[in-house]
Amino acid sequence: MSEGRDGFVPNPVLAGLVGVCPLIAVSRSLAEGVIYGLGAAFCAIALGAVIPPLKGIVADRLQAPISLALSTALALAYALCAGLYSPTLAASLWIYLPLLAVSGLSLGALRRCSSRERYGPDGKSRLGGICVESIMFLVTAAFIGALRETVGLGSLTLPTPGLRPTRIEFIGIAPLSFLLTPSGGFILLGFLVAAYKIIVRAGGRKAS
Amino acid sequence: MPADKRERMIESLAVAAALGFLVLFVAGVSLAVDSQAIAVETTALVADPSTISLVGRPGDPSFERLYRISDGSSVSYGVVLSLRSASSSALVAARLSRLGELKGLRLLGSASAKLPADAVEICSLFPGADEAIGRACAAVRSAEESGS
Repeated sequence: MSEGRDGFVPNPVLAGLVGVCPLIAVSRSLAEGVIYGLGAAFCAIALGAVIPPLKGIVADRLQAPISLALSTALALAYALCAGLYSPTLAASLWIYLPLLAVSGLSLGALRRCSSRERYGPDGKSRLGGICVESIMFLVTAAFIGALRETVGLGSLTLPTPGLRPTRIEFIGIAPLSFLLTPSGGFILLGFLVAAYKIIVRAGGRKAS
Repeated sequence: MPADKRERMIESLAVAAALGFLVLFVAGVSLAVDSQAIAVETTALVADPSTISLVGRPGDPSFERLYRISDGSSVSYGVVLSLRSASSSALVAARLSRLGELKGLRLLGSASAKLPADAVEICSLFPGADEAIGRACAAVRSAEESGS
C-alpha cells in the first residue's frame, strides 16, 4: 500500500486487508479491538521511530536480526503491560499479543524503514505514514470490535482496567451472536470493505 | 586475525550485548508483571493470603500457576484458568481437591460474552459466594416450581 500524490492514505485494513486474520480472530468486543489495535499501532510506530536511526550505526548484515529482536521485545513488553492493565482482556487476546511482533502492520513498518524510497502522507516522512496507518488500524479495530459486539450481543465492553471490564447492556438478548465467531467476523468485514470502497470512489479517489 | 574480520567480530559482539540487555529488560518487566499477577490470582482464590502458596508453574497455556491452599486441616489446590471458545473467553478461578476433583468455580471476568457473573460463583469455598449461590438457586428453584 502506498499513499497517493495528494496525501490520501488508504485504510490498511479495509483497503489493504493488512493483518485481518488475527484482527477478526480477537476483535469480538470494543475492549478487545482497542487493546489489540493499540498494541499493533504501538509496535509499528515504535519500530518506525527506532529502526531508521539504527541504520546509521549498525551494519547492513545485522539490521534484519536486530529489527526482528526489537519487534519481538516491543510486542512482549506490550503483552505484559496489557496483562497488568486487564488480565481478562490479555487472556482473551492470548497468543495474538506476542504475535504482534510479526503482525502485518509491524512488518509493513519494517519494510518501509528498509525501503530506500521516501514516502509518507507528505511524500517525505516514513514515520508520518506509519503513524497515520497505525492510527487508522487502531480506529478500524475498535470499530469492528464495537460493531460485532453491539450487533451480535447487544452490549458494549469498555477497555477499563481490572478483572471485570465495564459492560454497557443495550438489550437483554444476543441478536446475532454468530458475528462473534471468525466466520461471522469475516462476513461483516466483507460488507465493511464494500462500503469503504463505495465511499472512497464516491469521493473520487482510488480505493486501494 | 585479519583486521576486517576482527572488526566484524567486535561489531557482532556489540550487537549481541545490546540484544542481551534487551532480553534482560523484557525479563525484568516479566518478573514485575508476574508478581502482580500472583497477587491478583491469590486475591481471587482466597480471602486470607496466609493460607495460599505458589507450588508450581505447569507451563500449560490455559493456566500458568498452581497454588496450594491450606484451610485448617484440609488442603486443596487453586488455579486461574483461561477458558476460550470461538466466540468468547473468560477468566475463571477454580479450586480442586488433592485427587483433582473440581470443588468449585468462580468467574473472574469475561471479555465479550454475556455471562451471569453472579450465578457462576457456585462454590461456597469462595468469599461472598454463599449469597450468589442463594440468588442463583432461588431463581432456578422458583422457575422449576412454577413449571411443575
